[in-house]
Amino acid sequence: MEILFKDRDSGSVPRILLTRKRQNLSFRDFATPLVLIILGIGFSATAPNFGSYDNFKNIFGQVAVIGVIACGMTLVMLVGGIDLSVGSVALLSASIAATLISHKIVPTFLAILIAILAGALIGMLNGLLVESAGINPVIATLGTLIAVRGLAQVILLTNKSSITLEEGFLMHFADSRIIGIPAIALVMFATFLIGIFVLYRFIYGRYIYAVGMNPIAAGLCGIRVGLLRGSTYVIVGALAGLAGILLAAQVGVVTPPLGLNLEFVAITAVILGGTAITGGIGRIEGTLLGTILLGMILNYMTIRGIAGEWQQAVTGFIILLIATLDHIVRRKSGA
Amino acid sequence: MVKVCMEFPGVTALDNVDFDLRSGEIHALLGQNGAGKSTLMKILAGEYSPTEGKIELNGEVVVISNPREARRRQIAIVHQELSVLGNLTVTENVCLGSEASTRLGVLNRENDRERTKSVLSSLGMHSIKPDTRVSELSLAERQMVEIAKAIVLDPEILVLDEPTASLSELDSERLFEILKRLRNLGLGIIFITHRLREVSKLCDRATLLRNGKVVTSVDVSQTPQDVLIKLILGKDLSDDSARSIATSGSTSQILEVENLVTSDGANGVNLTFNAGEIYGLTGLLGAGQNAVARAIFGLTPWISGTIKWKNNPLKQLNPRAAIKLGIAFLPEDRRRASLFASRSIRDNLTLPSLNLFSGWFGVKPINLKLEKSSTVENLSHMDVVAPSIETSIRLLSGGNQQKVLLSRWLLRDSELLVLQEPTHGVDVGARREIHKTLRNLASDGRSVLIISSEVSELLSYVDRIGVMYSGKLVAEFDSNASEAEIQAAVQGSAQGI
Amino acid sequence: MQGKLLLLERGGLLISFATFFLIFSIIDSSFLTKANLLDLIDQNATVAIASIGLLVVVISGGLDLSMGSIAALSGVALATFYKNGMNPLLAMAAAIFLCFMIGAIQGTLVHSVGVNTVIVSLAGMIWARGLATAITNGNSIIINSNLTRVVTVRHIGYISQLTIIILLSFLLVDFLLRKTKFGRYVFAIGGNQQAARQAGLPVLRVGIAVFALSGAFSGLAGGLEAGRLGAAGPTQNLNLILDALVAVILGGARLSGGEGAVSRTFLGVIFVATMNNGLSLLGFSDAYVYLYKGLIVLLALSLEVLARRLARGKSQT
Repeated sequence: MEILFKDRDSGSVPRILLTRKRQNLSFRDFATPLVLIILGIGFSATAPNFGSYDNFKNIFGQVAVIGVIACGMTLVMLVGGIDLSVGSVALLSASIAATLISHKIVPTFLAILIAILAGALIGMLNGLLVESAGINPVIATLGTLIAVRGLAQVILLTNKSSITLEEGFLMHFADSRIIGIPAIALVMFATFLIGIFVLYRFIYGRYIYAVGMNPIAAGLCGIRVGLLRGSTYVIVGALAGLAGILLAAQVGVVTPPLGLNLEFVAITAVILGGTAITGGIGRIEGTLLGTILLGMILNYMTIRGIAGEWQQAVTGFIILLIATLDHIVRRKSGA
Repeated sequence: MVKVCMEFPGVTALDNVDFDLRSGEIHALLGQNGAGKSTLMKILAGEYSPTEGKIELNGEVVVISNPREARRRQIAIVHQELSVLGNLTVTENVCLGSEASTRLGVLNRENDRERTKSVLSSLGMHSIKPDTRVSELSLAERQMVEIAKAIVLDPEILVLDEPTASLSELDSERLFEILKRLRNLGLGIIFITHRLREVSKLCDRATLLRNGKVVTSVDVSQTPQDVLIKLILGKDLSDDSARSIATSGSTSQILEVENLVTSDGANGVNLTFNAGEIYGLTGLLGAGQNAVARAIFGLTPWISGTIKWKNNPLKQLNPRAAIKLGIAFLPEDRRRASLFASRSIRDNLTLPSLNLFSGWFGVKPINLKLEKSSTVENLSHMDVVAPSIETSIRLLSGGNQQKVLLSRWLLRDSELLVLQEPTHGVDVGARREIHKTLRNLASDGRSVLIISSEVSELLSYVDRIGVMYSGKLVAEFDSNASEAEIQAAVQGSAQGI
Repeated sequence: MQGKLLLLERGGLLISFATFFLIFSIIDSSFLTKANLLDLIDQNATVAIASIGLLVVVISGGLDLSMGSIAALSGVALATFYKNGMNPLLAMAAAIFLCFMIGAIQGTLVHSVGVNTVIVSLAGMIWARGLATAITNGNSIIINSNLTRVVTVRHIGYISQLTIIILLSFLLVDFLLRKTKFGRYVFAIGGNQQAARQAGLPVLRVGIAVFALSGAFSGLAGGLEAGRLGAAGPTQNLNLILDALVAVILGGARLSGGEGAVSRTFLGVIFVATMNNGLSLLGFSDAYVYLYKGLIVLLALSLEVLARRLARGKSQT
């Protein structure tokens, strides 16, 4: 759709077009879907079970937890920050919820709510450390990572180090499927839908992009930059809380190593989806695709019998590869 | 430099440029912003490689592939953006890249310190001690350190890119003396500037670049001033401004500044302006005009004094409060502080006003259709040329970008616009359009405060000009004043200096 | 004036460290014993060595988050080489060289290709440990006790091999940073990379060297740890990067680059070592150790930032 501006004095004579480029699409926007399709075809060709609908439904279920966190992580990274504590927060929320549920202290719904709230509170702590105290987010969230994991494990200690989730709402939820897709995966899709909607249709979303791209200019436009950045930590904290509950439901048992390294996997998904670690650029749909892509890769490895021990190494190599390629492409296309 | 071409993706920065420098001369390189001066010099300094063309030094063709090469060939460049390192000392900066050391790399500090001392004293900079951390020096002193750094290597060619931008009149004079002395010693000096006065006082020859091409090369002593002026601007200064002589007629005070003191340069400023007027504030760099602008928008704390808005005294402002009040601020460096480069025109325009298209304090989703139509309407008033409002703003020319940014605040119905160097990086044609637009705004009843150093340009479209000196407002002129009077005040004549 | 700033920062650190020391010695009488203090040094040797490598990277304006994982990989490599018959010293050298090369590759990606240093080192943090996991199938490799003895032997009854290595590392880096062109260039690049490049400094070479150096130090740290414990596994040195970061930052280095000193980092290392040692002496289970350590770290960092802000506020009228 083109809109031509009218010359003020001469009525409706259209002005000359300056350039052909209308859209602001860049290679970046095509990269992830392209890779997804290519790998999808390649994987299906080389592993018979891969391309089946059933398998994909499994993939969605497997990455649901990662996706929920990655959705929030996108916001944090869009404004130039990073949160390394989400795995610990997930464990914390799982511990809290599981304790409350198994000891029947409060009804399940309330337990879930409290757990998510706990996640949001940690997120607020992170936000304060980074924005008010001015500590570098990498370090601040590394500190929280350790402290919160400790806190969660302390809670677990009071339960003899592990809590098994009895039959109940959560377990049923984890097993249920709607139109064949695991309920957990639907939670992930819902989260992304809300995220997409907020980013594109709400003022908050516009502010996120503004602050991420040029915080000075954003401040001069009257945006409270620190508050906005801090709020992203609260959101990712709450989402990590949600993810923790989903994870607990999925696994059925809450143990100390739950959620370990989750933050790195989530960051991988975000980067695969095209968001830059420096902020300002990125689309949340990209993160969804990135999550699915990651799921595909890990699933493929499992199908092909590549030992689980290699998954971490592969994840790391992927981040490196994607980041390097993305940077090279960006440099070539002219920054 | 012979037939040098420099192509960047999408842009031809230099087109068959021929340039030569003799030893024992100061050669001015003139041209508007974006004409290609800095690019040409960066090629000489080894920071860029030309797409075509060659460089000859003393008759021998050379290839300068990196800054190290350039230094080896005794070419030294003093950049426009200060490139001294704050975390290092003066000595460490001056000797950067040429440190005295053993073969294994162990530093010989004494040697470095001695060299620095001798360079500094030969340049007459006795106040700067070699072991001071550069972060503690003033801007002018840092510039001097930068120059010392260039000289310490005994260069044959010295390039200075707008060196007086951050210097006071006194410091500039001192610099000129130093340069003349160096010239007499046989150095070839290339002096980039867009200030005419410096050219006639200091330089032997001048070459003018426009849009990447050499326009002409002249002998300064043989060329009259007005010819030079015409060449640079591409036209005569005098008449054709779209000024409406009648102002809006309203004399209601909109802003009154009383005895304002800030930490960054205001020393008791007294200023008033009215609704519907355009006020130009000028002065030497550091005289306080930018400090006033920043204070009005609430970017700096008001140490003492008052600011009244429509006769109501204000409490210390911050940007958010200022915007709510109706004050808008467009800083000098668009790219760094106003533009969201890869976002669309529409995004850039509507950002501070999004609440107009939403409701319930931002909880309701944005009404995209309304946003779109408002954007189009606003832009058409401004004569912005672009394919669509979704185009990325960085693809626009400087002038169009500035217009979009102005619209940003018009959408918000700002009553007072504070603009820093609004025509910086804007070509001549677009400048006149912006002047026209601002005058129209004034007749609509809005007020505009322009901070600018281009007095002649200000005279063509503002109602009043205020001159700041040493942090105080020392003189006010109306549009009938001559540039000479105003420039005198800028230099401090009002203070009897 | 600069001196005053430093005094404030150094003073603050010294006070907090002294308080810390005091508290721990009161709480647990076994803290101030010779045996314990010697243990303190040995157990935190890796932190000390890694911190000094990290310091150089941070001064240059970068970050190397992969140190812990590379240390773990180094231990695994060392054990593997040793098990396959290599002489222990040679095995150690080979492991260190491997990590040196990995560091050089990371440095190339950061400075030549231009990929963000956080991403490259974050990826390294993940894949290096992943590689260690894959090679060992998740288990630890036991190392012959001969190697352990070589590493932990004590001369003169007090000074262990580890102490000597730590001291040498510190002295070496201090010399590099303050007395050589290389060190000057590291500071310059951290201060303003663009200006450094314009001055003709070999930014690429120095940048890669800095990462190679931190890789080598990570390798050294990991190898020594494996030697000391008598085992190498993929779960070693998990907290190394946090400890090193805390030590470096409390030691006054800025993550933005251009600032830092070995002497102050030394104080930071002592703080971390004291904290680690004190916590383990107090006999907490892992969970509580994590919790308290995390809280202490966050508190210390906040105080540090506060102190810096106060100092800066004073120097600007």
